[in-house]
Amino acid sequence: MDETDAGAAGRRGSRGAGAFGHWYAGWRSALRLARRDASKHRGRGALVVLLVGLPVLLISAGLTAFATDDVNPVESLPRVMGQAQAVVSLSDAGVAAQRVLQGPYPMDGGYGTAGPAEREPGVPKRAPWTRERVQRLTGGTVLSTTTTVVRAEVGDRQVHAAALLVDGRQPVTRGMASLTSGRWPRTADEVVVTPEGAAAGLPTSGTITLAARGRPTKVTVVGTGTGWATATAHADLVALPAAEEAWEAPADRPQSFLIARSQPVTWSGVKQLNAHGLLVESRAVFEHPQEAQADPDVPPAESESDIVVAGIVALLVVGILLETVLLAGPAFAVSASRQRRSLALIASNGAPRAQIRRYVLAQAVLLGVFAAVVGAFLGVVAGLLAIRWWAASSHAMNAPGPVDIPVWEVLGVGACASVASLAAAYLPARGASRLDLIGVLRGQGVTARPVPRGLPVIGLVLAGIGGAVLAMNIANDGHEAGIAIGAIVLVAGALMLIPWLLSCVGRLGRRLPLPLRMATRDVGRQRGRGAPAVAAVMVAVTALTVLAIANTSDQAQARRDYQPQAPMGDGLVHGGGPGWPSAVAAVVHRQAPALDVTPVRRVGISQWFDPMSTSPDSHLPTSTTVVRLQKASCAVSPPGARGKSPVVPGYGSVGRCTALGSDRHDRRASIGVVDLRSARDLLHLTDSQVDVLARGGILVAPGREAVHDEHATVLAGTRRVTEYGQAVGSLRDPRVDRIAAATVSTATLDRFGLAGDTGALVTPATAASHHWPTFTDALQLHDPGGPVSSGDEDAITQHLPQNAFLQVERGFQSNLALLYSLLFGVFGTLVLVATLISTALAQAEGRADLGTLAAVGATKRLRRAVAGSQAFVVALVGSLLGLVVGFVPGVALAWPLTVEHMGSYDPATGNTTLADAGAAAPVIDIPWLVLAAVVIGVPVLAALLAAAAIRKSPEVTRRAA
Amino acid sequence: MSASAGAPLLELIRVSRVHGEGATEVHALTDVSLQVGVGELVAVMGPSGSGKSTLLNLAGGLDRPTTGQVRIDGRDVAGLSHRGLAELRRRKVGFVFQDLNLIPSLTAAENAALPLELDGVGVRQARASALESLGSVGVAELADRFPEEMSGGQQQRVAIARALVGERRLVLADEPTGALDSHTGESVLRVLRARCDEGASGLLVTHEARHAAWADRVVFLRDGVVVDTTGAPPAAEELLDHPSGV
Amino acid sequence: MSIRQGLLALLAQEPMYGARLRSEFEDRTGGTWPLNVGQVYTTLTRLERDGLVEVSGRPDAEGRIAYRLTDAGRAEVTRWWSTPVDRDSTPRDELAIKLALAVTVPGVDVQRVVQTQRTATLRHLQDLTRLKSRNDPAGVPRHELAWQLVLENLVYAAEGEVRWLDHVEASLARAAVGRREETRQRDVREADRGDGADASAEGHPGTSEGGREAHGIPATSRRRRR
Repeated sequence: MDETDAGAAGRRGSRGAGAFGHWYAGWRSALRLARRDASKHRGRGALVVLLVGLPVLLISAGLTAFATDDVNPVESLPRVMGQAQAVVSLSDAGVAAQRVLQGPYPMDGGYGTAGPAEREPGVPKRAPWTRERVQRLTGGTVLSTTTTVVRAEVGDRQVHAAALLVDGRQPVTRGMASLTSGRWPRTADEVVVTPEGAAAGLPTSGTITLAARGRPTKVTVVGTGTGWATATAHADLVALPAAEEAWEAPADRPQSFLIARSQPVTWSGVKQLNAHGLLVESRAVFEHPQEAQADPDVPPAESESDIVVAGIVALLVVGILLETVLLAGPAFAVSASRQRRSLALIASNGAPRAQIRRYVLAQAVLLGVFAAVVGAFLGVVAGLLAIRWWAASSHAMNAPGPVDIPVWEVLGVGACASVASLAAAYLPARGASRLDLIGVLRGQGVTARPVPRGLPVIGLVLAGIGGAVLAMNIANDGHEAGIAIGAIVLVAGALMLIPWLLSCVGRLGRRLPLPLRMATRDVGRQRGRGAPAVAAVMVAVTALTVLAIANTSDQAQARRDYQPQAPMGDGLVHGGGPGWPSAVAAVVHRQAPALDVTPVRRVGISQWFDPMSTSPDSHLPTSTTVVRLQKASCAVSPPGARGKSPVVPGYGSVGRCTALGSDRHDRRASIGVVDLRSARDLLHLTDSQVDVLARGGILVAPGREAVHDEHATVLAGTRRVTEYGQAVGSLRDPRVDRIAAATVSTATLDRFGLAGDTGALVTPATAASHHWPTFTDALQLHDPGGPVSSGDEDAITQHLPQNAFLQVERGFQSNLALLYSLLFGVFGTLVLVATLISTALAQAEGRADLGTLAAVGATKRLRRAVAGSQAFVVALVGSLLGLVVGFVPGVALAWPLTVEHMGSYDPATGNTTLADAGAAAPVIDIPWLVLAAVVIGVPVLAALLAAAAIRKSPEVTRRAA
Repeated sequence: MSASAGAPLLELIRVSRVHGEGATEVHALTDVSLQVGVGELVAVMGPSGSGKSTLLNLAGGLDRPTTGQVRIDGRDVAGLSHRGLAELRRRKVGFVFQDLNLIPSLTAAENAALPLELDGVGVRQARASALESLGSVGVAELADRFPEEMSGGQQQRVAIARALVGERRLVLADEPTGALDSHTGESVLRVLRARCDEGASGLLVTHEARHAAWADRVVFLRDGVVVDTTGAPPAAEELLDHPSGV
Repeated sequence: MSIRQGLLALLAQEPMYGARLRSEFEDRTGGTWPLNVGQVYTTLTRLERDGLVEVSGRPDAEGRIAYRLTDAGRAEVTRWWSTPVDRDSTPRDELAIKLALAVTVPGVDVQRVVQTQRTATLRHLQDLTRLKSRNDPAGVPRHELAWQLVLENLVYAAEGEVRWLDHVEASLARAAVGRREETRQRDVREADRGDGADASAEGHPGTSEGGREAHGIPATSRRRRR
């Protein structure tokens, strides 16, 4: 280093333009020297650049990928509404009978209903919504649009194709659909094929045979283009809206209308339309949602989970940057220590302390800024490439949004990384500015400074406070924020304890064998180099401990609370649409003939409906009989009294009187149908229970309060069915029956196909006698030789029809192995990196000692032992400390994750009422073995790696006279 | 003080050392023969480039001669492997360099005990031997101090103690007083002399005549060749007749 | 101050008459020891009496008589060159004269002279050190201390001598390097001129290039002397 240069700079500065000139000249000189130093020591410089730049690269890539993938509302505008001002949809499953309460983004955030909808004057109730009707309300030009799914025959296969139905000829649809070649369809039997459709197998010219619900239709391909079925999914075909009827294809979503007019649809306009039961996505509101968000009627947009996610991301970023500081610290410390003599010369030439600090900091500035810039740039590029690759791969279901670079966030990360790099160099810089000049210039080694007395005390206090805050938050089931703060304070306190701990470690070297003694003494005295490495290891192991404990506990709780869906080893096939059971049974018979197939039947109609069903009987009924079991506490007046229908309290919508119902979504409220012989053999019913069934009675699950005096009240009536298979409307023509009933244990019901998923049982004869509709809900597959093999499972799954799926119950599937390997991989690598960097630096610094050792007759083995010991000590101390520190937050995190508040869940109504009496005990499962493996295994591994890296025997490197 | 009867501890027999080959050949030593007996202190003097350090390196097994034999305690060094040489340096031969002799993170006693510990001797026994050796060089009270807490002269004494710890008898010193002032350097030489009087042997490379004078014999090297040696000294009584020279 | 050996060494080169002996001596010792002719003639007479020199031929035109060495004289010169200066009986200046002459007189192995002296001085130092080692300077009574100091004086003087000898040696080495460089460059120039015959004419009979180098005598100055 050129000390005259530096001294001159200092002197020149002091004579110059006052404080600022001095400061500027000092930095300029420091930066120049830093540049020369960096070009001389490329290895160390490259290390720092890597340590600082890599996290920046990863974070930038993640941010960019996330931002690009995310299609925000403004980006989705052209896809959703082309050039129109708004898209209007029918709420309430196309009925639009209720007023709508929506936010600015009704499709994402959901909407509510509030009261009956307004009707325009002169329009009858239940008038269908047509283009003209909408146009009268909104003005401008209105185009209808929807999407549907059809089956296309391609060769001998059948391909499902999503079709966007809109008139592409209208310029307002540009953005939703665009033409690449050919022309737009003019009639309902012309289509445009998109690249995605072509990739699925659709021809780009000629004709296609489509099959919807009705007869197969032939359509002609008249062009190719692109179309968006939703904001994130491409369509395979584009056709006119009239095709919906022509193909008899069921609409995939309620009818929508594009509003093309010059005036934007403001928020007040949206609310007006809402009053009529219409959902509105308005361009003006998407672009400027403030007015909508300020509206008090609108439910708050940002859910709590978003805040939690943001918090976790912030913690992650902070953690990564902290690791950067800790990993890069030793490199700067070594650099400062190597330049000790030059810095002392500069100081003896008159440079003030601040200038000495600047020399060390300048390196951090240079390397850190360089690394941050390069890392950010490469990260953005990497993120974009990753998204492009992801979208092109077959796994992607959604098309990502346009290129979106979160400039401010990336700049922020880069700035943080630069600051982190400066922080890493700060302590070495301070140490350098406080050199014992005389000692250094004389060539004496660095004396080990004692640990400042106050530091460990502060550290202990902080750790205590942090731990207390954590404990308090657990006990009171507090905020995530409180837990996070407590954890951070605890870790900060522990970090401050490290120098003192290291000096203690150094003192206990006396009894150890030579290599370990040298390693512990070295780490205890050269704390500038050792402490950051130990801290880095500690932070990594803390994070690992917390995550391991939390996840293991969580898994243990999930295992405890696991509800099998079927008897162990059996499979269940669910499907939809009439005729599917025989199709599936045929598949099973072909693929795995050894399996027994048993239908699981229930009272009611299938909730599944397959629009692609080819059965001639594929229309859903327009109304169905609904069977409800009344709670015993609700009184029912006998029929015929006062000549009117019996008054059944709470019928219509489900009220407090329904124990079970065949029209309920939850299977636990359903009534299963099982024949007598199976009931006797498979369910192990007692004779009295069998008798009840034989007499046309019903066996009910416990806790439903339906059985009173060995009888139960059954209410049957009809409700309307929508084309989506939902029973809606009020219960008409009610009939009340009293039938025999008995309570049966859940264990018994568990044996009925779906464990715990049935509310009651009757025989087919009983159901027939009451004219109750039954359907096959699922097919149970049983392998008499044991559990269903995965070979059979795969074979069947491949050949199942589109809407059927098979699930084999194999018990609780723990993904702990995957989790542990992930944790091990990430954090283990971090620990190894920190340790090996520190060891490499120690080896580089200790070269003079090597000569001495060689002269005394040490062999390569000793050198290996020393290197391994150095790595071992650093990693072990850091790991042990990390384990202890991570214990408390780990348990603290596991507590709320696994505490379960018992309550009662009513499957009939879907409500949960929380019980006041005690929560279930939290499950705290500490994976001792895994933690021990990390705490002991990783240091051993680091030691082995460090030892293996030694290639040469120690050599006496002395100048030959 | 004269060379005693019996096998010499260190023998260099017609040793040559050539570095490089062809045009860039450098003859560091040419046909050098030297003997150091038990209780002898031999000094080697010469200008820089004369091969003094090469001689020392060969004597200590740090380097192998191109031709000739090096025998330490009767054993030919040439037949030893790397490991054998390391063992030699642990058990027979001790080095003292001009500086950086001690490992900074070990105490004086631990530094002195280093060769023993490397050889597998138990910690307690090694420490006992180290303390004894430190005592014989007069720095027993510094046993638990670290090198940075000692002066240069004290460090060199500890280095000498290490060189002669346990069973070691031969110390090879390369300009041990180079970094020391005159009195400290002299005291180091006195220690060396005393230990040789007690039965050790030493080969001392130096360029200072005052210090070389403490040896029993001074060997002069120039350009890799021994050009002279002071040989056996006359009786001390002769000097007393003329205490003041002109 | 005895100049016997000095004169003998000069005569070993070639016979000279008295005045010339004096001028040569002064030349070669840089005028540090000015002599007068009478001193020279007195010494010559003594040397003749001792049988080390003899008159060489007849007086020349100016009446100057040249002297030359006898066999005994030659032997004495050889002995002088090959033995160290005895410190007990002769002043130290003799060493300086000796070396000055050694450097300028041809046929003398200067390095041998230096080494011989050095070895002797070291022996002397060893003896002194052995005396010194009997006492530790610290903590001795006063007169013991005084004796120690006197000893140290001798030690330092001897060391000073050795260091000067080192310096002489180093200077010789440097001068030799310089001359080799010069010769090489001259050879290069002659080779450029491409005259093989000139090269042989440059050579001086009786001596080799190598010999010239060994004596450290500038070739040009030698030519001048002829």
